Amino acid sequence: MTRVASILFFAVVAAQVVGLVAFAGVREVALTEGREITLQTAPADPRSMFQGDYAVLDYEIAEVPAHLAEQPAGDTVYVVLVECGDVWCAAQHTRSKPESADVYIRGVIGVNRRLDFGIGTYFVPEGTGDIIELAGDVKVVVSLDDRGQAVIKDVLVHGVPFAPDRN
Amino acid sequence: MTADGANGPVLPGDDFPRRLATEVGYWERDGLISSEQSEAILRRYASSDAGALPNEPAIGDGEPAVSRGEVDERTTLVSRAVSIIGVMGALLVGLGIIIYVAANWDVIPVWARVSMLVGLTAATNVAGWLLLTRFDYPRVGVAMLVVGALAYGAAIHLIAQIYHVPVNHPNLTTAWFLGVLPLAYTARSRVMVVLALTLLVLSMGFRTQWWLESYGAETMLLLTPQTLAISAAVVALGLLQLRFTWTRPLAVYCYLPGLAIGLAAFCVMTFASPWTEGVNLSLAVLSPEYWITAGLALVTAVVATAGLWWRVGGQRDRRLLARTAVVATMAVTGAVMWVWFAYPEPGAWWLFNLVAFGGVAMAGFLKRSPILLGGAAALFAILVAIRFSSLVDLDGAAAPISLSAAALTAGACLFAGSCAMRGAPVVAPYTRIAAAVGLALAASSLHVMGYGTFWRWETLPGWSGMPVEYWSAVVIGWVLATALTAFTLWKHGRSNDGDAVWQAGAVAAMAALTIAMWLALGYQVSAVWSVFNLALLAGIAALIWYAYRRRQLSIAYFACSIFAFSVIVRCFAALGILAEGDLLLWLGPVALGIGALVFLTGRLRVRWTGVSTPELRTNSRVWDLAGLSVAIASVYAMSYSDPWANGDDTTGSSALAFLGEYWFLAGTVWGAAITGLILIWVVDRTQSSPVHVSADQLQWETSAAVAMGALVILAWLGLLLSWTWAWLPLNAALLATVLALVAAGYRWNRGDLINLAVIAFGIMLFTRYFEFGFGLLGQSLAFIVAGAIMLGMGFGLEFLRRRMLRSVRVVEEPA
Repeated sequence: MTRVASILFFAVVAAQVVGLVAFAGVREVALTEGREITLQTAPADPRSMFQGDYAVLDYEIAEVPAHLAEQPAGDTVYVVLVECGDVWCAAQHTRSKPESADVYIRGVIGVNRRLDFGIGTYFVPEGTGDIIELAGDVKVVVSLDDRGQAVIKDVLVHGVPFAPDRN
Repeated sequence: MTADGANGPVLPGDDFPRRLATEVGYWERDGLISSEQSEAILRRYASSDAGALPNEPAIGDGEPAVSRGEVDERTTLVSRAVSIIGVMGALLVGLGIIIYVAANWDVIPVWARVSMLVGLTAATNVAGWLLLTRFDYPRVGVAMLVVGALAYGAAIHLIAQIYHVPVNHPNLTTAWFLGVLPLAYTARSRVMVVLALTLLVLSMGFRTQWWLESYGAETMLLLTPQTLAISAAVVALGLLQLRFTWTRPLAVYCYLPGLAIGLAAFCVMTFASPWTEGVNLSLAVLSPEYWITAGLALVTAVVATAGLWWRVGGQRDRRLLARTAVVATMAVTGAVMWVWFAYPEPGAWWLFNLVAFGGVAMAGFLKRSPILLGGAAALFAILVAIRFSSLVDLDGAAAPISLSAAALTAGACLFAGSCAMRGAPVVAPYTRIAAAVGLALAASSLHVMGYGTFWRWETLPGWSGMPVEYWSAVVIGWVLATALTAFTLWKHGRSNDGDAVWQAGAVAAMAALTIAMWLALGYQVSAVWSVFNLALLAGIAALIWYAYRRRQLSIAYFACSIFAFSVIVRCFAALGILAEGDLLLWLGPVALGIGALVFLTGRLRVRWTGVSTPELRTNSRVWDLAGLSVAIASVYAMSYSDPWANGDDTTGSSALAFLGEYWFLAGTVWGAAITGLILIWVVDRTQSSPVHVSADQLQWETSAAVAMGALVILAWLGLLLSWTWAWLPLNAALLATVLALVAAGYRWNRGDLINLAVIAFGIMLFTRYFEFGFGLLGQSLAFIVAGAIMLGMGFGLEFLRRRMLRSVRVVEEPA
């Protein structure tokens, strides 16, 4: 093999490692630096080919309001959130980015006519998905950055953080 | 390892340069070329293999003196074995790691899991590269790179899992693909290129899922033009690679998968339902991402084709035009489909049928290529099988009868295709298998249509009850079969053996039976079932007559086994008392007995015929492959853990009493197999066969037969004594069989056995990966341990190969 190929090879391997670390880093920063809110959800429990069991989380705030019903799938919608009791609820839906003083989450209209916030999946250890699925009350603690991007921090089953070995 | 050699058209791990060096040495000795020319040739193909040899220290005494030619032959086979075992091991370890991620085992903390996988990615890649370039273990090196590629994917998905990135996010597999592709080309590994393209297909699949929530027919319809654009780009890029020294050997691993992806897209479009259901489709549902991907793919295809024209320079010939036409057909069809979405045309599926089958068949006629012709037939046979499974939900009699008519059409196609492939290079050993499968399909369809119950059942659907796809498929099938038969008659009709006339007669008989079935369905003649039984018997009689005239024992045996199977299946249909899983467990030992019988009969036959001519060799291989694959399939059918663990009351000792016929049948089969083994021993001991057989070969054959017998005894004991763990040794036996087949292929210089091992392993790996019956952690551990063992074996074999190479130096040094 030539020197060039050798250099290229190690450059790609290094890029892979840097990419992986960056991927984890960006998500970690979003998790720790963001603003923490709690949302109400109703989960289901399938299994992925590469990542094992997970719960599908469908949020109460994912409903598309009447005045946006005509918008095509794929359009971005910002949901302004207000605290109502122990969870946060949708107060207002806008197509443009709201004032930075508000708490808002960024979503995309899905083909199933629900809003997709990129927090629809929660991976669980093998065989524990039904704990979440069968629970009557499931809330999700998410971390929000100032662009409205959400990352799941914790899942609360009947108000207690989900940890299968503790159940 | 030298810099000038690295640019040669040789892949790392390729044995060709070393064999070439031997040959060039002979050419120079015989005065065919001068020593300068020989040096120039060797410099062109220099690689680490050839370059490393002269400097290595010779091994000491005690090595058997073997000729260079013999070593060449054996090291080539060892090289193949190392590549195959190494890559199999790598796939097992890699999938094991992915399954480990899927298990989401929270005993190990998150940070430890992430650093473990990121470290593993870097370590395996670096180790693979060093093995490849510094230590001259190219095949094991590639295997390590495959582990590295899979570990990289596992790491991506682990991080995505930890931070709960939405499931199947398409960017994950895209990042995986983008990470593997450059490594494939810097390391110039064929396996890695194929792996990267597989990841590309996977990421395209996840992308569709991401854009469109539903999996209906319209999803496929929208995906197709984009798939066509991407496959056009892949094919064009692959063809362009032919023009660069560095990538030339990899080109075929790029453009063939590209063609396959494009053809698959065509095949999806041959169904009528996406077109009729997708009429109301709007292009507006597609996201900008879709258009960007498709546009980029089209631009890439155009640029790559332009590059191809530019690189070719002065030699613009018909081949270049044909290649451009293939790329253009895919790209333009994709573009035209978008227009169809804007102006819906539900009848367009016809055109795709025409292009998919007509295109391949036409290319076969134009290039006089039997391989393409046979390929069109095989493609169609597969498609008919898929298409007709959707008709099963028709009521009552229609399902089995229409399915069997499909089998008859597919069988005729396959048979006609294999006849057309007669005498073709490369595929010749498989044409007999294809013909046998075609005839078996036809026979089984007659068998099914011969059940009186299907015809007396309720009312027959009549012609109008059949969907339009049914008619399209049978009409295309018969046009194709007729065209192929005409081709055979035209090409071989005047040859002395008259085989072409026999074959045309068989196809005509199948056509007549299909028409008879349509008439019976259309005019609701339910008494017709006996005709099909008579036809089956007549077909078997004709086969035996043909076999007698041609002195072809194997065809007579094939005819007899069709008859036997028909009778056995009716027996079991009459029994009909067992649950599906249990039925497999009980049928397994009988099927294994049939496999052993075929294998041993073939081995016995070799003792009279020998393998001196290519035809005799092919015959003996067909017997071995048929017997061994039946045996492997039957052990596989018994190797699922579920029926063993949850067997109901038919397992256990009560089975002995009420399965009288079963024990009679099994006893007959195994009695015949044991007789075959005894006969082989008697023949070899008395040396009464005209062909000399070494004691070594007898040992291999005997151990194969004894192993099959031992597995059957294990299965029966397990069934009678309710051993719930019996699946465990059966799975171990399957893995051992794969390794034994590779070893046998190496020992007896039989590439077909190695191929069988690879195919069996691939099918097992695929089905086991998607079987989520047992726990993910256990599954992961089993995959990783088995893979590590195989990687170790690959390493050991590579070591052996290097020793063999060095032993040559010892012999040649004094001379």
